[in-house]
This record gives sequence, C-alpha cells and structure tokens, in this order.
Amino acid sequence: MKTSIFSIVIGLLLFTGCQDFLDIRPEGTMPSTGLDHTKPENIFLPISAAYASLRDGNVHAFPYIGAFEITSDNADKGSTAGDNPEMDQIDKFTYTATNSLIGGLWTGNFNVVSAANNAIQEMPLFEAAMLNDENKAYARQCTGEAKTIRAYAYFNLVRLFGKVPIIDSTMTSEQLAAQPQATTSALYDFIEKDLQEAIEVLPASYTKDWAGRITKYTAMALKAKVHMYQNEWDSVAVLTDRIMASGRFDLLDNFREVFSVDGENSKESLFEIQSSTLGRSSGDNTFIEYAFVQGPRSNSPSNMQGWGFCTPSNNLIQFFTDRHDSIRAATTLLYRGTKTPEGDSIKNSCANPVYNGKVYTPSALNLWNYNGYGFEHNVRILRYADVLLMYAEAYVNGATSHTTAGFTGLSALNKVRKRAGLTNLGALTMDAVWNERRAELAMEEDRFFDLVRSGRATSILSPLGYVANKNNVFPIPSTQLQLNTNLHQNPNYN
Amino acid sequence: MKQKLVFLLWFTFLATGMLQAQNLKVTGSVTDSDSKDPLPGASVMQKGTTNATIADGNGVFSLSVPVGSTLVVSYLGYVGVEFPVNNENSLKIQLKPNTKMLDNVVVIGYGTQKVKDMTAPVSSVKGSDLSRQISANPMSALQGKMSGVQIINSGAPGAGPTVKIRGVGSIGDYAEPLYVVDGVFVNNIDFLSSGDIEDLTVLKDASAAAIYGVRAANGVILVTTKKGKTNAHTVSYDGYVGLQIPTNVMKLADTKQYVELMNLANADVSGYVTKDAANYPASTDWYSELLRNAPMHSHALDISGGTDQTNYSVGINYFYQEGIMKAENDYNRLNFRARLDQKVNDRINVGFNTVLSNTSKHNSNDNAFFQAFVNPPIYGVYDDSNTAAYPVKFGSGQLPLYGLGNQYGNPVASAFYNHSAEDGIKMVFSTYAEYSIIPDKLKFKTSYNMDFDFWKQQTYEPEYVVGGSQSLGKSTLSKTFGTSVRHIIDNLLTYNDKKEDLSYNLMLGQSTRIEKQSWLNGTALGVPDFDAQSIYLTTGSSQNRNANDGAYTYNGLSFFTRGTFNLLDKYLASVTLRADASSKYQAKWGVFPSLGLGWNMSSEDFMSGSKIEYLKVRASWGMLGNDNIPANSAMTLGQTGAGSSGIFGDRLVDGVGSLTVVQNYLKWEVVNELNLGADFEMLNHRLKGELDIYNRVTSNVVFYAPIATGGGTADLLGNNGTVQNMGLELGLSWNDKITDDLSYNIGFNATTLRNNVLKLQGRDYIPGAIVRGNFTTRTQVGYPIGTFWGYQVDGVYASESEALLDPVAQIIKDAGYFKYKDQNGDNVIDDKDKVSLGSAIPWLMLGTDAGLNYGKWDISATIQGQFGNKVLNAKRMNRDVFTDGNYDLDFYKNAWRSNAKSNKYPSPKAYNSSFVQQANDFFVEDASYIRIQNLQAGYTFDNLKFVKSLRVYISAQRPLSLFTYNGFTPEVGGSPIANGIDNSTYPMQAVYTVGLKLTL
Repeated sequence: MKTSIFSIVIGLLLFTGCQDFLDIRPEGTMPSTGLDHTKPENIFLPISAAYASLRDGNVHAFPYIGAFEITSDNADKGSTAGDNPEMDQIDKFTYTATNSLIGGLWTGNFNVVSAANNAIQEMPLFEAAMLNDENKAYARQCTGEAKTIRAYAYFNLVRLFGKVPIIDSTMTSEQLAAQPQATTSALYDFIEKDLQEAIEVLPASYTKDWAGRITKYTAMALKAKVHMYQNEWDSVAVLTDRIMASGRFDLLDNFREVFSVDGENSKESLFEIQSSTLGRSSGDNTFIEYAFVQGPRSNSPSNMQGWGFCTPSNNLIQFFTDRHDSIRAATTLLYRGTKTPEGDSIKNSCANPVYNGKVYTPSALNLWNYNGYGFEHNVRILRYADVLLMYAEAYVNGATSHTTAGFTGLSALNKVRKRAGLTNLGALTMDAVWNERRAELAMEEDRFFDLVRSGRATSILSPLGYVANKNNVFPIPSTQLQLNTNLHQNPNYN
Repeated sequence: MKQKLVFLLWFTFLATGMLQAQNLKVTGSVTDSDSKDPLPGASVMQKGTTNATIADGNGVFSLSVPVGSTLVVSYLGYVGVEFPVNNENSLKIQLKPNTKMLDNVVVIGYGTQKVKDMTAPVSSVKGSDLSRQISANPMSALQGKMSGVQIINSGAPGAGPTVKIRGVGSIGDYAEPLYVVDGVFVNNIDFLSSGDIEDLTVLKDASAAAIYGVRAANGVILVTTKKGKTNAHTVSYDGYVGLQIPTNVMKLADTKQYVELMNLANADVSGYVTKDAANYPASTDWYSELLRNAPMHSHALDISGGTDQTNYSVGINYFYQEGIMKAENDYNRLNFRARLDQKVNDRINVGFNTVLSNTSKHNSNDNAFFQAFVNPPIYGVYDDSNTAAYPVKFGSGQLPLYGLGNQYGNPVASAFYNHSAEDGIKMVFSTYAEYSIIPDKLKFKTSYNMDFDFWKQQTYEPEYVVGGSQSLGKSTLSKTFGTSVRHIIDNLLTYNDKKEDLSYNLMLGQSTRIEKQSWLNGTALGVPDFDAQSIYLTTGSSQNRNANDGAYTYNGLSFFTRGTFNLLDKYLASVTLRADASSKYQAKWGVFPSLGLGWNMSSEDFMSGSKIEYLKVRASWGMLGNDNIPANSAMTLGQTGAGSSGIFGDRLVDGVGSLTVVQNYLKWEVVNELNLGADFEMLNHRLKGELDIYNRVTSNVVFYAPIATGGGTADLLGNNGTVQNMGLELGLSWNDKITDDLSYNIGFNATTLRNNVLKLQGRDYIPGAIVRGNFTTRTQVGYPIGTFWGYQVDGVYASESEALLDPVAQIIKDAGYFKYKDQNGDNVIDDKDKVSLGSAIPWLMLGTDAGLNYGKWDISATIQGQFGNKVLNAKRMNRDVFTDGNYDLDFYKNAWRSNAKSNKYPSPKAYNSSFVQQANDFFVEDASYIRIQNLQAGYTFDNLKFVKSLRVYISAQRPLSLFTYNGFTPEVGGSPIANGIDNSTYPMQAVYTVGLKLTL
C-alpha cells in the first residue's frame, strides 16, 4: 500500500516536471518572429500591414482635416458652435501642447513609421531566404513600397512638427527615449533618401487588382513635393517631367468624376489611401472616416449625414466666384437646400450652409447604415493635376530645362485650367500658379502647409489668428516631451 | 463511544457512590452566549475528578455530582466556566466564544495551526460576523474590521470591491490578493455569500503567505466554507429585506444658476448672445432623474450536522440587488453549496465540497452618470417637440433651442437604450483523500481542486434617435461566450511528532496548476428590438456579421516544504521554502524562502504573576513571487486581422504587422518582507491586542510604463521598478461583562501605511493618468506610486492689474485666473514648478466596532475611516471641452465673481480655460472620510416551540458618511499608477434592512 502511493506521487512529480509544460505560446496569436521567410507568398504580409497603418483615423481623418485644411483660409471648423472645442482651437490657432488632436497626429504618424520600419526590416530576411532571383527582386521591390510609406509619414511629421526624432529600426524602449531630435534639414535628407531608394526599385505599374499600390511614379511625385517644400525647383522639374513623360497618367475629362467613387484609382491618381467597408460590420478597421467627418450635418436619411466639419469658407466661395470657376465650385461646394446630380438631397435643415463637395458620396454607395456616410471614399493624396501644377511652379521659378514631356510651365497650367472649363492664360506668373493651385486642390488638405512653405501664411492667415514664427508648426505634444527629454518644444509654445 | 461513557459513569457511580455524600443529579443546557446556539459535545466535568459527561446534540447534559462540588464546563473555542453546584438541579450555562482563540486552530496555507503557535500575523473573521454586515460580497463586509486591509467599494450591483493588503506593491493592474476557497484558487469571492463562509483568514505577511509563493505577493485570503458540527444537526434560515437609498448625491446648478454662470463665463466672447433662464422650459435635476431607491433581499437556508464519522453541510442561498440607476440594472445570485467529510476508517478520510453559483447581472451604462454631471439642466428628460426622436421622445440638448454640442447626450436616454447583461455559472469543486500512514504522525493528502466558469455577455443597442450624434441607425448586438477552467492538484505529506519538549510538524508538498480560458464573440447589426427572443445574431442582417475568438493558457508547477517547531510551548519557529515555475515569465523558476520566530514570553518564569496573562513576540521574514501578470505579455506577437491588412482594388489583402520595440525580458516580481509583532492579553483576558510593524519591498515590479513613440505602441510591460510599503498595524479588543445579563465589547484597529518608490528602471519617473492631454500622476523615486503631480494654486488674481503686476510669467494673467506657485523662483511657470500634491493611498485607516448585549437584546455599531488620501476630481477637469457644461452647486456658490472674489475658486471664464484645467491642488481634493459602516439592533427569542432560536434584527449599512470631497464618494479605485482619478463613479448607497435568523 505504502509503496504504491509513493510511486503515484513520484510519477506525478516526474510527469509534471517537463519543461514543455511551462513553455506555452499565447493562444490565438502568430509570433512576429514566426514569419516563414522561405515562402514567397509571405513577402507581402508586412508590407500589407504598413499600408493598413495609413488607415488610422488620426493620420487621415479628423485631426488630419483640422491641421491641414481647417487652419487655412479655405475652410472653417464647421459643425455647430459648441462642438469639439479642440477643433475650435485649431481653427483659431489657440491650441496648446495638450491638444489631443495634435497628439493624435504625432502618435498616428509614428505608428505608420513603426509599421513601415517593420516591413523594411523583414524584406532583407526574405531576400536572403529566397532561392530564385525573381523572388529576391520582388522582396527588394516591396522594400520600396515600405520606404515610400515611411517617407510619407515623415513628410507629414516634418511639416507638422518641424523637428522630430528619426526612428528607422526596432529599438528598446530606452533607445526610443534617447533618440535625438533631428533638425528639419536632416529629416528632409532622410525622406529624400528613402524616396530615392524607392524610386530605383519600384515598378511602373501593377495589374488592376492591385489598384492603390505604390508605384515608382508615386514615389517620384512625393519626392517632387518634398523638393518643392524646400524650394529645390530643379529637382521638382526633373521628377515631374519624368512623370509627365511616362505617358501613364492624364487628367480625367470630368472634374467631378475625379472625386467620385467611380473615379477612384484612375489614370489621374498617383497616391490614394484606400477605404472601403467591404461589406463588413464594425470593429474591423477597413475604412477611414475621412468623408464621414465632413458629411452634411443633420441631413437625412442617416446614411447621408456626417459630422459636418471642414466647411468651405466664405473666402473660398468668393474666390471661386471672382475667377468664374464654376465647374470647380459646383464640385467643391455642396450647398444645403440643393439636390445632387446623383439625386441626393442636402436638406435645408442641415446645420451649415455649405459642405465639402469633394467628399460627397451618393447614398447608393453608403451601404452601411450605421450613421454611415462616405466610408467608401478614398483619401486622395497625390494626383496628376498636382504634378502639372508643381511643374508649372518649378518652371516659373526658373527650372525651365526639363521638357522631355513636351510641356512648358504655361502649357501645364493651361491643361489643368482647361479641364476645369477655364480659358487659357497668356503668361505664367507665380500668382497665377498659386491661385490655380488653390482652386484645383481646395479642400484636399494641401492649402495650409502650401501657404507656410511659400511664405504667404503670415500675410494671408494673420487675420484668422495665425502668429508668425509660432503657428508655422504645431506644438510637440507635452506628454511626448516628458517621455523623451531630448525633445524641445517649438518656439513660442509653452 | 457513547456507550463506553455511560458504562464508565455507571461504574464510577457504583464505585464511588457509596463513599460520596449527597449526590445531586444535575441537568442543564450549554449554549453559545452570543448566537444562543446549543453547543453539542461540550464537556461538563466535576472538577478534579473523572466524573464527566458530554452535552448531547441539543446541548443538554445530565451529571450526578455531590452538592458543593464544582462543575467545569468547556468547549473548544469558548471560554470555560466553573459552576458551583448548589441545590439547583437545572442549569442554563452560557459559554462565551473565545475571540482570540488561543487554543483554536486557524486555517493557514495547506493546513491549520494553533493560534498560540503562530509566528506570523494572521487575522481571522468568522462567517457569522461577516453575515451581520449587509453586502453582496463578503469582502465588502470586511471593511473596517481588519487592520492592514484596505477595501474600496463600488455601489454598482454585483460589483466586487478592490482589496489591498498592506499597501500597493505591484504597480500594474495585478495587485489583487490571492483568494483560496477550500483549496481552490479563485480570482475573487464575488460568487460567495457571507452565509456560505465558515471563516475567512487573511495571511498578511510574507512568512504566512510564503507557502503560496507564486501569487502571494499581495497577501492571501483563505476562505473555508461551512462545515457541519459533530453530533448535531441544525437547519437554519437567514434572510433579510432591505432598501438601498443613494447617499451623498452631488448637487448641481439649476437652470437659473447655470445661465448666470454661463453668461459670466462668456461675457467677453464675440458673438455670444446673453442667455435668459426664462427661455428654457426646464430645470432638470439629472441625478434625481437617474437615481431611485432600490430593494435588495437575501435568503439562505443551511442544513448541517454530523456524527463522529461524517460531517456534512448543505446550503442554498439567493441574493437579489436592484441597482440605484433608473434603468435595467440589477444583480441576481443563486448559490448551492454542499460539503461532506467522511472518516472511512481509522486511516482514511475523504471528502468533497462544491459551490455552484449562478449569477445574472444587468449592467448599467455608467457613462450616464458622467453625462448627468455635465449636461446643463436646460432641457427636459422628455420632449414632445423633439419630433425626430424615436422610439421614445426623449429631450435632446442638440435641438436648436438649446444648441448644445454632441458631447452632451441625454443621460436618461443613454441609460435607457443600453442593454448589457452578464450571466455566469461558476462551479468550485474540490475533493480530497487523506491517508494516515503512521496514525497521528505521518499523513498523506492528495486533493484535486477545480474552478470552472462559464459566462455569457451580451450588449445590445436598439435603433434609436434622440438628437445630434445620440442616435443609432442600425441596432448592434455583441455576444460573447467564454469558459475558463482552472485545475489544481495538490499532494501533501505531513509528519508531526513530539520529542521531549520539542513538538514539530513537517510538510512536503507539490502543486500543479493548469488554467485555460477561451472565448468567442459574435457581432451583428440590424437585430430587431421586438422582444427578448428576437435578440440574436441570426435575426440580424447577414451582411454584417463578424466573429472573433481568443484564449489563454497558463501552467504552473510548485514544490514546497514547511517546518513548524514548538519548544516547551515557549519558543516557536516556522520555516518554509517554495520553488515555483510559471509559464508567464521568461525566467521560469523562482525560489521563495521564509522564516518566522516567536517567543511566548508569558510562559516564561519571569513573567509569572505579571498583569499580562499572555504575551508573544514574533519576528518573521519572507520572500514571495507574484505571477499575476498578463499571460501573453512577454512575447512580441504578430498582429493579424483587418487592421493589419491593406486594401487593394476593393479587396482585403492579408497582412501581418508587428511592434518595432523590443519586448522586455520578464523576471519574477519578488516581494521581500520583514515583520515584527506582538500579541497580548491582559486584565483577565478582557483586553486583547496585536501590534505589527512591517517593511515590504517589491522588486522587479511588472507594469506597463509609457514609452516614447516609434515602437508602434504607447506603453510596454517590463520589470520597471522597486516599491516599498511599510507601516504599523494595531488591533485592540475589549470584552467585559458587567452583570450576567449585560456585556459589551469594543474593538479597534488602526493601520498606517507609507508607500514609497525606491527605484525605477532607466528613468527618473513614470508619468501616468492622462487627463485632458496632461499626465496627472507621477511614479517617482521617493514618492508613493501614482502620486498626484501638478501646480500649487497660490491664490486667484483679484484684478487684471494685479495680474499684470506679478513678475511671474503666469500662463494667463487676468482677473479670476489661478496664480500658480513659482516653486523654483525663476519667474516662469512650467513643468519644473509641478510638485507632489499627495496620493490616493491613505496614510491612516481606522476602524472601530462596538457591541452591547443586554439579555436578549444586542446592539452593535461599526465605524471606519481613511485619512490622508487624495482624489483627482476629473469630473470637473474637462471644462475646456465641455464649455457649455453644467456647474456643480459647490462651484456655483464659491466661484470667483467680480463682486465676490475668491482666493481659491476661479472665475467661470477661467474655469473653462485649458490653463486652469490642469493637475493642480484645486482639482486634487482631500478624500479622507469617516463613515458609520453598520448599525444594528437585534432581539433573540429562545423560548419558542419547535425553534431553537430566532433572532430578528434591523440594520443600517453605511447610513452616514462624512467627507469634504466634491463627489459621490471618496472611494475611488483605479490602477496603481492612475489611482484615485474620479470620472463618473457610481454613487454609494445606504441600505436599511430588516432580517431574521431562524435555527431549527
């Protein structure tokens, strides 16, 4: 009796003493180090995740429209007077370092950087493990996509905050806290390097089922813009000329179509953040609320209403009127008390007189009924019209020797004008380019930083509360200053 | 056994009867003087002889003794009495429970020990004491009764309290103590009713808890469920009916007062139209619209008893508590409990015990209380003119007449449209077999313990419109089903022996733990709100259904040994050693020793004749591990799902993302504790006390600390610090009898606590608790965890000119704004001027218990309080976002006005600015309180036919709380680094009940 009890006890002890018993992997997960680098179909997985990170609402929805457009003379806060005081502060330039929308822009864009870094680090592991050259080349090509995404996020960060740390790899939390605050020029160098390397490996195009994927020309257009912000006109001209000479892009005939769901990923599009419900229910982040937050407030039915932020200003309306820009006005300005060509009514009971027409989505496409409006609408980042206008601006600044595509600055400008139903201009002037830029890209989150980079912010925006040498960048969130003591606040914010 | 005794008596009688003088046959009953329960098995003995008997199942005895002799009556756990035998032949003997239980045994880990042999501070409470407090949860009943144990209650029905033993050692959300119910490890004892409990023991220090090593770092609470008594069979019913009344409800401004302050705040705002209270038809007191008096009742039936071989206890109890929020809000619990212990033969004992708990809860939408706080009183709960609203015409602040932003949702509507239910079935089961290898010396016990949970959670929001964004176009339903099973297999080998003056007990043990939890969730839209039978995923739109699942597994393995030694009943020692392995840490094995020493000074010769009848001094030291950290924490995981998948050409392409910050290697969180204490009894055992001083240091504390951006996450788990808790615990009790009928008792306990961060890994401090975009707490070396950190308000500017004259560069210089103190004298107000504003950890907790027994009457009162703790009034701290929000009455009365200047409160305009809305000592308020926890009066009938005893009582729970804090209750919990942030706490209630306890 005694011995058998002991043997049971000892048996139990031995059985449970296995190390395997203690080494368990968490349930319902995939280990990050578990990507099988020998399988070519896995190459795109981290890249896909980097694209997904661009759908963060902080990066491309509510705070985005605030910092990039509501701050400008094109748009007002919108919605009702008491709604969202933090957006009110952004509209009036009274925001401080504790504003959570600005904080969201910082963390959101850095999360994109992190996702891109992960992809960039995985690609060489795939390349090394692949056996045939075609797959190796594919891994290198995909690196270009991740680098473009990283460059784009840093372009946002350098414009928003001026000086931010450069994070380009996996680090420990101590290393993250010790990152130095890079200068603006170092940041631009970093961005340009990423884009240059991307341009070298990216393909010119993809098949239709890959619509939305970053091409060589996406990277070039972005790089041209980056150079424009540094007034490096020759580089702008070189890149835009190449894009124009490729023959792959053109303006759509119908201005309105450019912003419709049908006109998504068209021949005019160079970079769009994809958004779609894919027929899913909530909780699965497959759409961005970019159009929703600008939708007609208090409209009905419920799938045709939104929060009503970022409404076109009287200044913009007057601007369109003064230059007789009726086609653009018809698309950009969505008045209440009207019916759209697609048959939707914007009721008189809406809270604001006019809404952003470029994000208008017809009810037939708002399949999801949960306060749903515009979830199918992609966020346009770069389009061919922008490329033509950048070319024209470089031309007027003296970069006139890059004409492979057969354009001059004036002919490029006139092409954009013609599509909008305007007559040709006879001479190319800086003002003409700038005004055309404003008219063409109104309500597309280009205006505010366009004014800042071209030195016009103080004169045009001071009446709206803009303070020179302060509001040209946003304050670094105060919580970030506490987490990384190498960061110093931008001037005149305390 | 009984027959042998009778024979003995008879023989004695025969043998000695002739020699004795006149013998008297004395009969009588022995009962418990408090509960009036009979004490079967009490020993009744003629002093100095072997002439003795034992009271039967009804406590009745009969003994023949010579007149003039003395009867000695005793019973384990009670104070023995001596009765002179006069001519009375019928005696009613009442024994008082021995509250210090020196000879009693206390349940300690994996066994029991006599109180006088303990070397560690252990506090024990009987289930009957807990039952006298009216609460859903036995832990809540402990509030104020035990030194060293801090209990923070919540008023929500079915909500368990937060329990902290000896301060806060862990910084993460893993600071809960370990609960062991009949050998089963459970997360909390919410599923038990006080009536299920026999006794509850708290192992406060490391040496006592060390035997549970792996999770004992935050203290251990041992619960044994009711057992049957030998040779007795009792049936009892214990029930009460009560009414909960919300207490300390905050008063807010009415429409006139609101409009007055709004006009003052916005006087300079361009485009502001002065409001007139006459324009608003309503003056709604939102809190009174949201609150109601709610009933609660509880019924428990217990049947227990036993013979020499068998002990059984069966019970069934039902508890119902309706919530005080006027919405679908309640808690139901039905428990069934059974326990059987059987002596199979001389060597083998077996037994099992099980608790089956069936709970169902309807949760309230607590956000409704926050909305009630911020919503202006200007619109009514219902509004027929709100034509867009359906199905119910609720009033909406977004109507043009009121023009409020979307952040002001109608709170009654929020509460109404929320249907959130949680149902659960829990089964705690344990069974054991014990074999005496060498009788009375070597025993082997194996036990299997299991905790099984099944839960279902359902949240449904119907399609509705109230106004603004307070609407839902398509109904949503989310259902989660989950199960969790925890198995523990324990094997123990114990040996006890006595060699001359040294008695010792050695134990060797092994324990295996397996925990598995899994859940499945489904969501759907468009589920029709027809009736309860229609609310299923299948009736919803097939287009938008989604499913998710997850699980976690945890395995643990332990080996432990303990030796307790007792030399001459004077010198005591206890040693334990435990080796634990946990699948949660990367460093798998941890070894945790402990040592305790005690000296029964009162047994020494030099102490004989002293006024102090019992004095023991003890010292103990122990090391414990804490593995109550998230199971899946230590590995970098691939992130999958739609959120990591890009969209191309209207299709989702799978992606796998990952964080780009290196996860920290997790080592064991270890507690090291030193405890010195003394227990004493004096003045004829009327005054009893215990005093303990302790110092516990927790190192490698595991918690999420915020990190700089770039890694893809805002915070990271790591072994991030070392924390110290030290303090003093004092417990005193006085029991006295004035006459036979009148006795009273007073108990008092006091706890002081000082929490201190000793070291932080790689940083000067950890900021925590973001409120309004600013960190409001700091966990910094030299200060308690989660210390509030902000500006000191040095006054309020009386005028703009005074402000402009101030050399210090205040952020805004205008009348009515705060003047923050420039701590470092550099004339600039910035982060360097932020200082510690106190912490949510109280430095003193007091409790006192008083009781009076007069004949059949009993009266008792319990008062408790906490002092020195602070709370951040985050309800007030969002006015820069809720600029149109309502003001509380305290602010209305005291706000700075140009004709009534305050030096403490800001002006309404300043109040709305983000410069005032920062962590400062206006918002960090003193949360000290004193509360009458319980008042009770009862009467016991003991002369009734068919019924052994019946006690009826009335009771008031929490009838009065005194505090200065501007909130519902100063009891605000939270995670350690974000502790005491008050956002929208559920109000507390007073409960008035009538109850009875019937024993057949």
